Amino acid sequence: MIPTAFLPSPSAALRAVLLGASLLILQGCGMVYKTTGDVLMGFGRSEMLPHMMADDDTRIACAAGEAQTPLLLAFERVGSNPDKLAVLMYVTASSCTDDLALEQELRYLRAVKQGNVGEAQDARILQKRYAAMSAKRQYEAYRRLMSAFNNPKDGECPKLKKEFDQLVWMIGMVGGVQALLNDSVADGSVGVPRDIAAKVERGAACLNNDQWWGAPRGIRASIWNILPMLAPANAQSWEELQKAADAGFRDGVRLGSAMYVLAAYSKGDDAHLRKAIRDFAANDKKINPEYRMMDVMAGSIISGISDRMWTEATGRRTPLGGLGTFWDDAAKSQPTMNIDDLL
Amino acid sequence: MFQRKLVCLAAAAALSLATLPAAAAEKRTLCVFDIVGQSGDVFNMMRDYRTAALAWGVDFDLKVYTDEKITTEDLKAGQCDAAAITGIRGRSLNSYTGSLDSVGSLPSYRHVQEVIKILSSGHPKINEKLVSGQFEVVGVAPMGAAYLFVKDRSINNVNKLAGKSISVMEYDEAQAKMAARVGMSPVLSDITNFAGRFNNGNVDICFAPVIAYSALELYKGMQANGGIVDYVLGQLTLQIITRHERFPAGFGTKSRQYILTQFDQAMRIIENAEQEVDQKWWIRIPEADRVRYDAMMRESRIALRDEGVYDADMMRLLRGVRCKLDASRAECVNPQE
Repeated sequence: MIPTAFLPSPSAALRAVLLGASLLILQGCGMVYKTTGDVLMGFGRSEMLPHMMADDDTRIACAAGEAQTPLLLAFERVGSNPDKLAVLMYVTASSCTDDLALEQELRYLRAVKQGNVGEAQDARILQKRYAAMSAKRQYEAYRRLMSAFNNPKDGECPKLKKEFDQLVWMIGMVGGVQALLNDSVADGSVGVPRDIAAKVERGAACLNNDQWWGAPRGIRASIWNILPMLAPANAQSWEELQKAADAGFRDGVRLGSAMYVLAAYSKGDDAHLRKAIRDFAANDKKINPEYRMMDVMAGSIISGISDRMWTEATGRRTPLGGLGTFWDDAAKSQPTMNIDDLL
Repeated sequence: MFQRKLVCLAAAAALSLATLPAAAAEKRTLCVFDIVGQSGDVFNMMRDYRTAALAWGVDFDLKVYTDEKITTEDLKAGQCDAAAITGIRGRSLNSYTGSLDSVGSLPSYRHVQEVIKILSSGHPKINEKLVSGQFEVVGVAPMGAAYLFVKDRSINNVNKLAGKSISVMEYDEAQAKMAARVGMSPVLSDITNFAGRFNNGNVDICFAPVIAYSALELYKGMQANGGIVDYVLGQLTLQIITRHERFPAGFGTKSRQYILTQFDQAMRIIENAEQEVDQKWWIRIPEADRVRYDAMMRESRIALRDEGVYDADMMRLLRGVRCKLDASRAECVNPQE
C-alpha cells in the first residue's frame, strides 16, 4: 500500500498537470521539436546516410526518400535547417518518379511498335506527368543546395571541407542537370532555369576529381559533349568521359560511366553508347562497399537507357543479366572455329 | 444466308483493317536536329509527332542530329525521309517557308500563330507553295523571337550600330547582309561559338533567339552595362520537311494540322525562356524609333527579296498578315511587298 502522504491531493495534481501542459505549450514544444529536429539532422547525417549509401536496394532508397522527406522538412518549421539532407532526400525521392516515367516511356515505345496510337499517346502523357514530378523534386534539391551553401556567387566555390558537404554538393549538381532533362520531357511545364547546365559545369569543378571517383570531371565532360558551346577550347569530351569511366571502375563507384552513357545517348552516338554500356557491365567486380548506393544508382541510369534501346529494337527490355549485351550481337552458339578446317 | 455471311466477312475484314495500323504503317526515317540531342525540347516534341504520324500510316524512326548542316544534307541526299530543322536552314529547300524568318516581318507571336494557321489551312494556293521539287513543308512551329544583345546599352539607336562587330550565323546570308547595310562588321559564327564570342567580349553585339539567353548565359556578355534591344528582329521557326513522294497522299495536310495544335506547347517553352530574362536587361525603344525601324526593316526585306534571298510571295503574305492585325501601319497604305 502506498502511503497517501506521498500522493498529491486531486486538486494539486490537476494544477500540476495544467501547469506542465501550459509550460509545454507556451515554450516547450518549439524547444523540444527543434532539439529533436537537430538530433534528427545529426543522426541522418552521421548514421542514416552512411547506412543508406552502403545499401544496394534502390527501391528502399526511393521509398525512404518519399516517406521521410515530409518528416525531415517539417522540422524547418521549428527552426532546424534540413537543406543539406533535403538535397539527398529529394534526389532519392525523384528516383521513384524517374522509374515510373521510364516505365511509361517503355510502354510508349512498345505501343508505337505495335501501332497502337491511343496507348502510345496515353503513355506519353503519363511519362510527362511523372517527368514533371521528377523535375520538380530535382529542382527543389538544386534550389536547397544553393540555399544550404548560402547561394555562392557564380564561379565561386563554397566551403566544402567535410566529406558530407562534398557529397551533398555532387548529388545536388547531378540533381540540377536531371531537373533540366526531365523538364524537357515534361514540355517545360516546371520551368527549370536553362542556365543550370552551365552552372553545374562550373560547380562540379569545385570537387576533387580523384577523391570522387572521377565523377566531377565526368559531369563536366558530359555537359561539354551535349552542349559544346559550354566546353573550353580544345576540350576532348570523349577522352575525358573515358577517363571518368575508368576512374569509376578503378575506385568502385561507376558514376563516370553513367555520365558517359548519358552523353552518348543524348547525342544519339550508338557506337560510343554501346561501348560505354559494355564497359560498365564488364567492370562490376570491384564495388566500393561504402558507396554501393551511388554505384547502383549509376547502374539504374545505364540499365534504363539499355532498356530503351532494347525496347525500341525488340519490343522488350534488357533481359535479366543481359546488361552489356545487345539484341543483334553475334550469337554465342555459333562455332568459333572454321568448320571447313576440321573436315 | 450467303448474303449474311458476306456481310459478316466484310465487317470482319473492315474491323481487322481498322485494328491493324501497325501492319499498314510504312517505316520512314525522321532526322531531328536538336542542339541538345535526344534530351532536347525539339526531340521531345518529335516523339509526340511520331505517335500522331502512326495514325496517318507512317511509322517514323527518329534519328537525332546535333549538327543542323548534316541533318539538312542527309535529307537532301535521301538518307532521311523527313527532317526537322530551322526555317533559316530550310530556306535552301523551300524559299517560301524559309522566308518566315525574314527580318522584322513578324513582330509578335500572334502574327506567328496567324501565319502558321494560314499555312496549315489546306488552301490549295498555299499548299502548292509548300511543295518545292521533292520537298514538302509539313509543319511549322515557333522557336522564339530573336533580338540584338548588346554589350553597351548606349547602343540603343540604329545609328550607333555602325562600326560595331556582330556575330552572325554563317549560313544565313540575310544576317550578314543586314549587318553590313547598317555599317556593322559581321563576324561569321556558328551555333557553337556565337555565344562564346559575345560573352568573351570578342564581338559587341550578337543576334540571338531569346531561348539562348539563359542556356548560353548571354547575360554574361551583357555585364555590366549591356542589354537586349526590345525590337523583334526575326522569328525562328522549326520546320518539318519531307521528301513527299515517300509519304502517303494527304500526309502533309494532316501533319500541318497536327503541328498547329502543338503551337501552345511550343510557346510554353518560349515563354519560360522569356520569363528567365531579368527585366533590367530590356532596352525599351521610343515608339517613334520603332516606326523608323519598321520602315528600315521593310527596305531591307525588299532589297533581300530583290536579291533573291527572300521569297516575294511570302513577303506579300506576311505584309498582309501584319496589315490585317494592324491596318494603321505605314506599309499598309503603300504596299511594296
